[in-house]
Amino acid sequence: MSEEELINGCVREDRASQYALYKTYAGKMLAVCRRYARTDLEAEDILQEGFIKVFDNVSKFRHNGSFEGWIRRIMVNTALKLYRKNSFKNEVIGIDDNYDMPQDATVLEKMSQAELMKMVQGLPEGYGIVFNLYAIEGFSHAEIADTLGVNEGTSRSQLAKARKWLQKKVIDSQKIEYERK
Amino acid sequence: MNENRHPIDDLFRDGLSQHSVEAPMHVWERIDQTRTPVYKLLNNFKQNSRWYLSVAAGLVLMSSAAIMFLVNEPQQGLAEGTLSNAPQIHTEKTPSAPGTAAFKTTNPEAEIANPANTSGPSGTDISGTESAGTETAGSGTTPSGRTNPTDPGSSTPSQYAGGLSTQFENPGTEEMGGEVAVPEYEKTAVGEGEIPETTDAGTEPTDPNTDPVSTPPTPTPGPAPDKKQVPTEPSDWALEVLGSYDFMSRRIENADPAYVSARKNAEKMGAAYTFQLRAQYRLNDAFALRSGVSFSQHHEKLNFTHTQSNTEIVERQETGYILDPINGPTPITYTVRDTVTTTTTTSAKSDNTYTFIDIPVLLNYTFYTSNKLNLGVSGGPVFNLAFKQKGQIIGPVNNEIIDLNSSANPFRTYAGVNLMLNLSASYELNKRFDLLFEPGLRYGMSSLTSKGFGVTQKYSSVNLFTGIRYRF
Repeated sequence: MSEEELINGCVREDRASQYALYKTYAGKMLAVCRRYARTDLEAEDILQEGFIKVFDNVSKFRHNGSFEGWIRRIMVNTALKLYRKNSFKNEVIGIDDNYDMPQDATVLEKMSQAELMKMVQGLPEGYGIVFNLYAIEGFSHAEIADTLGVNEGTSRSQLAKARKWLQKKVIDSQKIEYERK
Repeated sequence: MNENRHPIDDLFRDGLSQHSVEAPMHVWERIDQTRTPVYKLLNNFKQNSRWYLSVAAGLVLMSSAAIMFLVNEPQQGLAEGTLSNAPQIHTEKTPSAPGTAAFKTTNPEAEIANPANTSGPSGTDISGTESAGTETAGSGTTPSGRTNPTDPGSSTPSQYAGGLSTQFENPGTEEMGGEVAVPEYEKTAVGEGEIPETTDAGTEPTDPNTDPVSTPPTPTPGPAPDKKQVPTEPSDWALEVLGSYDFMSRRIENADPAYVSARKNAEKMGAAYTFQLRAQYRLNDAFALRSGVSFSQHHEKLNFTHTQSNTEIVERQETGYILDPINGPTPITYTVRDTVTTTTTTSAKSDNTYTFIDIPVLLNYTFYTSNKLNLGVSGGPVFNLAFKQKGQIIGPVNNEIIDLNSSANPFRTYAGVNLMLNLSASYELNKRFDLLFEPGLRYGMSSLTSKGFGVTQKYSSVNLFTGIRYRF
């Protein structure tokens, strides 16, 4: 079933097409949701709500960009809506050491998606949202500031802290790797 | 957009942008359930439940009012109902001589009971109309056939003018002359076309004994009973509208006193109010039943800050040099242990809202009644129809914040049964309206949270109801 047929089937509310759409994109979208959620259960809630929005609004898809990108944007927006409802502000204090990125690129390449995912999920919530939006989804600081209702300076500051936090985790993981050798 | 790309950004973007995990089937099953028309309908109802409930409450009230009106209708005509025990009298206004109002009265029983008043069809039906014979029986004649001169019925102008006048010795009418034997004292000097000097029979009865209302066994065709003059009994039904500012009290129980303390410190009671629309049915002078729809809402402010420190020892390898007296500086690798303390501060702020739609069923006992003031007590169960929550609360495990809009919401959708006890005072403003003041207590009997949550949360309130009662 082509993407066009899938979309048309979903517009007709054809159950088989909806299931096919879910099977095609649910895996990737759940990975997206997990980056924004605090728990796996919360990620599944976001995935469910996001797909319901996709099915309800699929007729509004204008074919201007990729369909996957459109679905991903709905998932991210659904996750952000939950984030805004929770209005959390987590802050981490005490990581003031500067860490330099390791120079060995092969070491970085060896890092698995699961390891990277674990690190991103381990980010404190405020940092995590900004890092996900900026580094992975490609939002600008202005867009992040607008979406989260903060100023751009806060977004930049949160991103810097997130990078530092992740750097430390990456370095630590390499050290452990090195010791195993 | 990405003017400041950082190697970390690239690392995670490249690694995770196309990352995929296995999607669980139970999520699809949940999604699939939401696609059914029944679910959509229910969801639509759930989202607009307040609107639907308001419409339903309005319809119930309108229906109640209509029923009350219909039930009340015969009671208002209770005085008229006394006539129903009397022989059926049909009174209608008929056109008469100019400037006069005349009544044509039909009394079937009188037609049968007083045949003596007539001398047969030919003798009665003078004018050739059916009414003429009946008028003979009912128009102010006594059972013995006597005419009471003061009887308003006997003074009906048209009756005399139209036909009955021929029963009397009226020189002007010779049609029936001699056929009806009329005693001398029954003769009235009313000639055809003449109007007697008595007052208009259709308006003012002059003899109370002939009032058809007060003397049902011997009805006389007097004036039509004026509804406004008939005292109506007050209806047993009334409609009440009340509003209250509530003073809430909350009880939280959990095995961990620290959790209970955290909840108490973080969540403060805000404004609370209740509106009730009730119907009252008076069972007797002392007891009345009250029921209707109640809408309550109360607010709580959550302001929670929780700081948690986590200390971990991170080991790292460092390379350095030692000065070997023989070989000179020699590189060595050694382990450095860093103690890293991570302090996480979680803070949450929210304005929580709890909304209840209930049906109170109250029995009121009036123990003091004066001219205008009534005092009593009322009490009974309050059955919850719907219970909705918004906001966040602190969970019992690790003080996590629970969003009440998520599936983790621990509150039930049905708040169970509460008990209500009020002092009820009413002051009569006028014939229809009473002013109400009802201070009282509402006691929550069951926990609003589900059993699996492990926390018991109950509410009680002191209510200060004021309102208006409309008596039908």
